[in-house]
Amino acid sequence: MQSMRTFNWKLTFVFDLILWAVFVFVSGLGPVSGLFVTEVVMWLVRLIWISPMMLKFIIRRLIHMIPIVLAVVAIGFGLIQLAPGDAFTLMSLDPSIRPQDIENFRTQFGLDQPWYVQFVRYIWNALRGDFGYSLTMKAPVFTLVSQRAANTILLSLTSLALAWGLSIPFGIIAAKNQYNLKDQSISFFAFFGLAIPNFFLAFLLIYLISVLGIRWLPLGGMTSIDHVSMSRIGQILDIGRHLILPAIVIGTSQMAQLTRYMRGNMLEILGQQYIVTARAKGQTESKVVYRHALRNAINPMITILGFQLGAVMSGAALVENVLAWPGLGRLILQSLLERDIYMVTGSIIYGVILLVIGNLIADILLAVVDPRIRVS
Amino acid sequence: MSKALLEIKNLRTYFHMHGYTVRAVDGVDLAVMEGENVGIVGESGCGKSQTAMSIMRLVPDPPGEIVDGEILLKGKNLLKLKEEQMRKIRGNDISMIFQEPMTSLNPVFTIGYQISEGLLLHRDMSKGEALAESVRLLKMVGISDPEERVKEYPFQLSGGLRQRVMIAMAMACEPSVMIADEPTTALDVSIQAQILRLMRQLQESKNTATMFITHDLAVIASFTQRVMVMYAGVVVEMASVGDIFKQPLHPYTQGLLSSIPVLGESKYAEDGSRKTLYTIPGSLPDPKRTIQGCRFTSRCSKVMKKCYEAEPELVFTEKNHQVRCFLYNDQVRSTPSHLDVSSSRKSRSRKKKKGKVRG
Repeated sequence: MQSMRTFNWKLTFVFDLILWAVFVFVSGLGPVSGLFVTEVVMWLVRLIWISPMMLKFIIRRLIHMIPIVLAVVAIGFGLIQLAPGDAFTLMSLDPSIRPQDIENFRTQFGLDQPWYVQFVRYIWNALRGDFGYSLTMKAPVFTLVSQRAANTILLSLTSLALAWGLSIPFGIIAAKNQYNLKDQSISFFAFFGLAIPNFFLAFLLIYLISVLGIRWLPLGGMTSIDHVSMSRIGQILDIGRHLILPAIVIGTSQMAQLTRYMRGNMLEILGQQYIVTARAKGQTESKVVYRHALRNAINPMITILGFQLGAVMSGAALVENVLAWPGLGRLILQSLLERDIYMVTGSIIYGVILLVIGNLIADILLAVVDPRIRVS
Repeated sequence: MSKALLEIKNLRTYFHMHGYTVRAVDGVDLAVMEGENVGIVGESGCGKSQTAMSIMRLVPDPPGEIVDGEILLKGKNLLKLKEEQMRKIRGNDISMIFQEPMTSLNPVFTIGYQISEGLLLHRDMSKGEALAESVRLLKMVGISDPEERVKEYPFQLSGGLRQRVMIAMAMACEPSVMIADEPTTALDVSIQAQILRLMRQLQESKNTATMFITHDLAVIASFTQRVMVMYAGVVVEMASVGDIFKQPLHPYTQGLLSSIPVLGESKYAEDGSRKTLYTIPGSLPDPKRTIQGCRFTSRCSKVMKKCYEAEPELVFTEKNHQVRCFLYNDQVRSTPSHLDVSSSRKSRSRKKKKGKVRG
């Protein structure tokens, strides 16, 4: 059997610094984003060093992505073709536009071609980085989707961090005090969060904030009117202020679920024989819980994290609409209603790629924490 | 006789379930001498393991509770210690080996880490020293290439190897008492023999007293010097290993021994009919109910009228032979009235599994 390779921690941190310097001074990345890229790269390098199988695994997963993305694009494309009408159908109702002009538009955008020609053309252009041009927003799809996706990712990651940061300790506390008052009250909140629909919680909170007259907490949107005139730090604080409400709304239901999962996992693990072994060794109770039990209870949670990272794009659509958050969910809905094919397909591709990457990250994380997956 | 190293006096461990109380251990007395091997036998659910867990003070509370008794280690009452003091005794003065080697090791930590843990807790060692000591311990329990093995994870080892790791872990701080709770039950016979041989070697070289819990009488015969037979939470017979096998006194012990198939004996009786192996009829009494009289009455072949009226006392019939049966004495044990538990309320589930006796 294969044993683990180790590495010199201090030495690899020197490499971190060098790589960071290269990114910042040579490639002109900002110091923060440079650090981010460095850490991602270096962690992959460390992982591959510890277990060379990882590299093969990651490459294989990336190759598997190709047919998945193609299939999803084809399905998305086909579904939109099935629906009657296109982006110019609305225009034909306008008596001031000549039907001939509309036909010209269609020829110009290639919409008069059969669907398979359109599909092949689309794929061919997409491979060269051109995801088409939004018919209704009059801008390249890629730019539009990237902007909106960034907003959605910001919101999703914040609520994810909120949900995880609270649910893991809550789950542990609940499991440690099974059936006690602490456990009961945590379970009560968990069930409350599970039972209440996201959008309804959003309405409730809006109502509550308006009634209580909390001025500094905005009710919707992502930026204030005077956002542009603010300083850099002011802008960040402004967005942060707007993030609070939607992050709480989305975070609550996720937290509720995760707390229940974590509690269940923890209870199961605390009943395992090796926990008795650890106690019989004379290990302190806190180490038994936070090292021996937690390390095992966290594994199934990471699989869930994978799903959640994948759903980062789509999970927030309803809340985005209620709280006027300029995210991808709203964009997709809008462009679907206006039959903006390239926009819809572009968003779908974006979502699928993020889904697959999210799952990949989760698998890598799982390999980091679970030796059974890492070695075999 | 040398002075007792570990002395258990009138130990009672009860489990308070919803609406009833299970008396898992109901007044056990036992003394273990230095370097002695004591076997505890009985069928599943008779209180053997809970006796062990009580000594370690690892009975899950709630629902379990040690309601009465003393556990003296070198004269110090463990039940009076604070949790922090008790923690320093676990793994250091008393250690334990468990039945299931497959689940007794934490799957996400290396073997080396798990052995080092005890050393780091109880010995003044650095991590490097502890790891070096772990390698030495693995070599001691007969694992080849220990330098490689310390870096491996439990899932990379077979059951026999894992049990060796458990033994290495239990021996790490050279405890004066080792409790082995069915250490060979989950292993196949040839590995069982290896593990037993290893345990005896270690036990002799380090002079560790061992409490060996099992329902395998063959293991008892080969490993221990003194045997305690438990039934439904009480000791029914206690004698040297030779006496138990040569002249068992209690009907339960006699029944256990008659349930062992004899090697070489014909399968058929003289008239040609197939012989069946003796079994003790019935099963353990319902743990929810308080039994009036002797606990073995419902299954006993020699039951008398007075067995239903009172419980006999554990008495010496010879110098080292104790038995709890009216066939040999007339003393009656009085149950302390404050420990009487009402059993009238309806219960939801049975606490204990009923088990068949294995010979």
